[in-house]
This record gives sequence, C-alpha cells and structure tokens, in this order.
Amino acid sequence: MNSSILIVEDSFIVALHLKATLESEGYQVLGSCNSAEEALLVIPQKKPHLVLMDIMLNGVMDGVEAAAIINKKYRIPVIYISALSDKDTIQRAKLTQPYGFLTKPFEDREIFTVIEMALYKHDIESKWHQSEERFLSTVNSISDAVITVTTDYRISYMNPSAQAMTGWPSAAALSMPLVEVMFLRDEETGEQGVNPAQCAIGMGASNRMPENLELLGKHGKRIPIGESSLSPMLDEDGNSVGLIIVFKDMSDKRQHERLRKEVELKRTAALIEGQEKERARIAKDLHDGLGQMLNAIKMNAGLVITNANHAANLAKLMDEAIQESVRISENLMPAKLRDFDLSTCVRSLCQQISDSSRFTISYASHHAPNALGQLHKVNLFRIAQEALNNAVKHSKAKNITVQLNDENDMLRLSIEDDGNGIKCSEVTKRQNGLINMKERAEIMGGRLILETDSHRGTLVLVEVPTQNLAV
Amino acid sequence: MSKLKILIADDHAMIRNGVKALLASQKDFKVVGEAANGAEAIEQYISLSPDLLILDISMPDMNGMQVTEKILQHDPKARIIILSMYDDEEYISKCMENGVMGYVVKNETSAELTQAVTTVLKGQTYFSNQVQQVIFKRYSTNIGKKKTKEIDINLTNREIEIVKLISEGMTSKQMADKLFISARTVETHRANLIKKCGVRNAIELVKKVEKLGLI
Repeated sequence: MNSSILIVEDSFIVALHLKATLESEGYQVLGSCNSAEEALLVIPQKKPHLVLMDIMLNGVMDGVEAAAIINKKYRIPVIYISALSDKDTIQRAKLTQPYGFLTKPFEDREIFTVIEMALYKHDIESKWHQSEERFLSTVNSISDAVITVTTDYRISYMNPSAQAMTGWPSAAALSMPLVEVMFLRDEETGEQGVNPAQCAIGMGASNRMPENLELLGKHGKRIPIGESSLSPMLDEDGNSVGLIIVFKDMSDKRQHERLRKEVELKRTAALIEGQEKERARIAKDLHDGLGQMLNAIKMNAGLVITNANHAANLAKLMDEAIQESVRISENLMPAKLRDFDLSTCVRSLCQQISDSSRFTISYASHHAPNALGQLHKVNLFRIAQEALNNAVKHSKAKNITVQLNDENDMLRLSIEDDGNGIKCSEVTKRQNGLINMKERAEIMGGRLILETDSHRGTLVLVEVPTQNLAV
Repeated sequence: MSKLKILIADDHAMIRNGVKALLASQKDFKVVGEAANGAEAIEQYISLSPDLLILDISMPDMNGMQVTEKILQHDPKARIIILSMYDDEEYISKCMENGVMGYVVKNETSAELTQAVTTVLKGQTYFSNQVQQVIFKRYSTNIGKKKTKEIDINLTNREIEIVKLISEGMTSKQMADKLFISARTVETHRANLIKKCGVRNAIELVKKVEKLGLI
C-alpha cells in the first residue's frame, strides 16, 4: 500500500506542486489544508501516514503548534517545510520532535529522501512503542512487585503491586532512596532496615534477597515477602545502569503453610495421644491385671500346696512371671507417671539409668513445674527418656546432666552430656528419635533445640510456654 | 475378748480372697469388710471402724495414697498396711510420709503379710524385707550424692564455658555468635547457672565459680 500524505501549506502553488511531485513518485496525497485548524479537523478522519507542515499558515494557529498537537494526540510523523530558518523557530520546532525539517526552496529528491527516512523511522518507533506498551501493561498487571532503581539506588520505577505493598504512590517514591521505600525487617533476627540490595550482584547474574523478610509498608502493614530476584539492568555496552527488583507478597502462602502445619501437628498430636493412651492401657492391664492375678495365684498356691519343696518351686516360677509382667508394663508406661509429678518421675528415671549404667547422671530442678496435664507430662517424660537413652547409647559421655525448671512463664527441660556429640552420619540413623522429640515439643506449642559438637557434647533443650501446659 | 476387725481394699477379688484365706487361720482377728475401690474403702472404713485397713495403691477411682490421706484426716489413729505391686522408692516414701504403719509388696511371701498384720495390730510399724532394701538403698545413694555435691557445684562443660565468657564481659548475643548457638539458649544457661549456684546475678556468679576453682 502506498503511504498517504497530508499537505498543510497556505501557498496554493506550492501545495499543488508538492502534490504533483509526490504523486508522480507513487505516494497517495490525501489533500492539502491551508490552515492548522483545518488540518486538525482532517487528520482524525483521513489518518495520514505522514504530514508535511508549513510553519506560517492562514488562521490563528501556526504549524509548530499544530505539529505539537499531532505528535501528542495521533503520533503521526510531521516534516516541516518552511522558509523560516531562524534560531527561535528551529528551537520551537525541535521541541515537537519532528521527523525532518526542509528549508524552502528544496529539491524534489530531497523531499523523497526525508519522507522515506521519516516513514521508516516512524515504523520502527511505533513497533518499539507497541512492544514497550505491551511490556509495561504486563509489568503493571502482574501481582509480583517490580521496582527498578538507578545505580545510586534511587527508585526509577514501581509497578502498581509494588506501590500497594510498600504503600508508596509512584509519584512520591520516584527518586527516593530504595531503603526508605522498601523498609525491611528480618523476621528471624528482628533486625530492622535490612538493605534489600545487600547481596553481591554479579554482572549479568541474578540474585536473591535474604529469606524471611518482612516489608513494613508506609500504610503500617507488615507484609512477608519472598521469592525475590535482583537483576542488574544493563545498557547495550553491558554497563550497569541500575537494578530490577522483583518480589512476591507471601502472606497467603504463609497463611496456607501455617494452616497446613497446624493440621499436621493436630494429626501428629492425635496419633501420639492415641499411642500413649494405648500404651497406658496395656501397661495397666499387664501390671494391675495380669500381675495381680499371678500374685493371687501365688498366694493361693502357697495355701493349697503342702509340700514345701513344690511350693517353693512354684513360687519361684510365679515370681519370675510377675517380674516379667511388671518389666513389660514399666517399659510401656511407668506407673509413676500416673501417681507422681514430672520432677519426681524424671528424677526416678535418672536414678534408674544411673544405677544400671556407668554414667553419672545429675538431676537438678530448682523450680519444679506445677501440676501438668497428663499428656504434657507424658510428652516431657518421653523426651527426657529418649534424650537420656541416646546419651547412654551413643555419646561416650562421662556425665549427663538433666535440668527441669519452670520460670518466667517458660518450662525448660534440658539433657546435656559431655560426650563427643552426634555425628552427621548418625543423625539420619537416629532421626526417628529426634523427630519424635521434636514433634512432642511442638505438640505442646514449644520447641526443641538440639546442639551438638564433638568438643562440648550434646544438649537437648525443650522450651514450652507454661500457659500451654495447664491441667 | 472380741476379735480384731480387718478391712481389705483391693480392686481384684482374687487378691481379696487370697488375703482372706491367708488370715482365716488366725484366731485373734477376722476380715469384716471388703472394698473394690477407693471410695468404697473410705465409706466402709467410716461405717465399720476396723482396727486395721489393708490397702492397695493402684485402684480405678483414686489411688491408695489419696485414700490414706482421707482416712487419716477422718481418723488420725487409723492403722493402715499398704499391700501393693509397687516397690519403687517414690511410692514407699510417699506412703510413709502419709503415715501408713506397714508396707508389704504383693510378690513377697505370705509370711511377710501375716507378720505385718500381727505387728501393726500390736500398734507397731512393719515394713517388709523388700521395702527395707529399697529404703536402705535410697539412704546410701543419698550419702554418696551429698559428698560430691559439697565439694563442687556440678556444672556442665557448656555452663563453665558460659561463665568464662560472662567473666570476659560478653553479652548473650556475643556469646551466641561465638559458640554458634542461639541467644535464647545462652539465656537458658545463664538462668540455670544463677539458680544452681544460688547467686543473684552474673557478677556473683563469676565470683562464686572462680572461688570454686572451675575457671
């Protein structure tokens, strides 16, 4: 298709000549206007590919004013054709970003060259412009926050998501230092004012912000952010001209994760509770049921059997059976957990292990906890039992210290040995026991800390807020 | 003279029958009542006013220690013998503290129980052979413990390390960084140390531990 051209020229003769020249070269001339006002009426109807614009025109408006409107409103390339070439005119014309300026009089060939250049340049520019618009609308509509900064870390762009998260409108944030707009807090350490661009940015490489960041917005909201990337913006020569920062609002994801974890914890709690209840039931049946019956049989047998030798043999067998039922029962669930407080039970556990091994186990409780719910008591006891068994079996320690204190609204149970720690290779082997301790701590709304190294031995520390443990 | 009255409280009929059969041959006393749980035991004790109660610890509603407390509140002169499966030190001491006059473990010989009944009915205490063993053992381990405790306060390696760093003027945060542990763990060590050493603050703690020659 031939390019269409509109001529805006008040000189009838010049206009006619131009029309003839252009048509002879194959252009489609849409007509000629002799005033700026007329041109502005015609352009929206005829939509020319290009406008040739005289500056001095009939009417109030001159060509420069008209060109400014055409450029802004219709993005149609304008080429000035004028006899004026004074400094002021050139200066004014320049600001309307014309695609060419021909000083009258000019050669025919000259105008073809300028028109071809202008059309080509405009074509390229509009393609670029379209792709930029597509890009911008993408960036503007994605839910990820996008912020770009200059090389001195001042804001050069923020997309709507970034504006919503930071609470800074784009206009206010522009040219502000990044650290003021993105005010970050490390959720783990509580450190405020973390610099988002602190990690090293390799040329062309992409990097991440630290984990566990919370954005303190200007609106006063705290938003956990994550899945971030920091990429350098490079110019054509590969020089860094700034930084693109992309990050996500993690609120929903966190919420989801929290719920998932809660459900999981409830399930684990139910599982462990069921298991402990079952153990307690079997232990009680063995101890109080079977054991008692054996005792009664022994007692009756003693009365019935008159032969002293027979009676003694039978009594011996019975004693063995009784001891066995008690042993199995105690392994399942110590009867003491039913009748005594946690401190007494843990002390007794330490004593038993001390008696049956070469270890010195010290137990200290300067401020023993008040009455605990039975399930919590069992959980804490099991943790102590597991940790002590681990220490006895694996640590090669000389001394083991168990401490149980309830102070400042926090119950703390620690089991510490001076052995040679848990080796990484062993962690997997002993994972079940460790996970079990951790789960029990978490069920109570507390946490388990495991510290181990070859010089200082192993420390298992459980902390549970006292308010979680009331009966 | 009328026979002395005995009440048996145990949730197992086999045990109650066994004890009854064992005591049937004795001419000086007779079993006047049986209770299958704690509440019944208290009820019958009040209505029958027996001279002796033979009481089990493990019962479905309340345990024998709780029953003992209730009965002694009602009648401080009550004579109670515990007849239990348990021979753990904790149970024995708790029952003795509560004021029972005898304790026999169920798997001991019948002679022990008969002996306990006759002795307690005379107004004396009787703790069976097995029970005495447990008490002696506790006493001897306590002697051992006291010896070591007087010499030094038992500090763990980690605790000694923490005191050293406190004496160097380090904050909890600095210690945590140095030892690769969390600041909260350091705080826990600190709190335990202050309690263990019976001091009020960090300065006294360092002084005390220096005096003990641990740092």
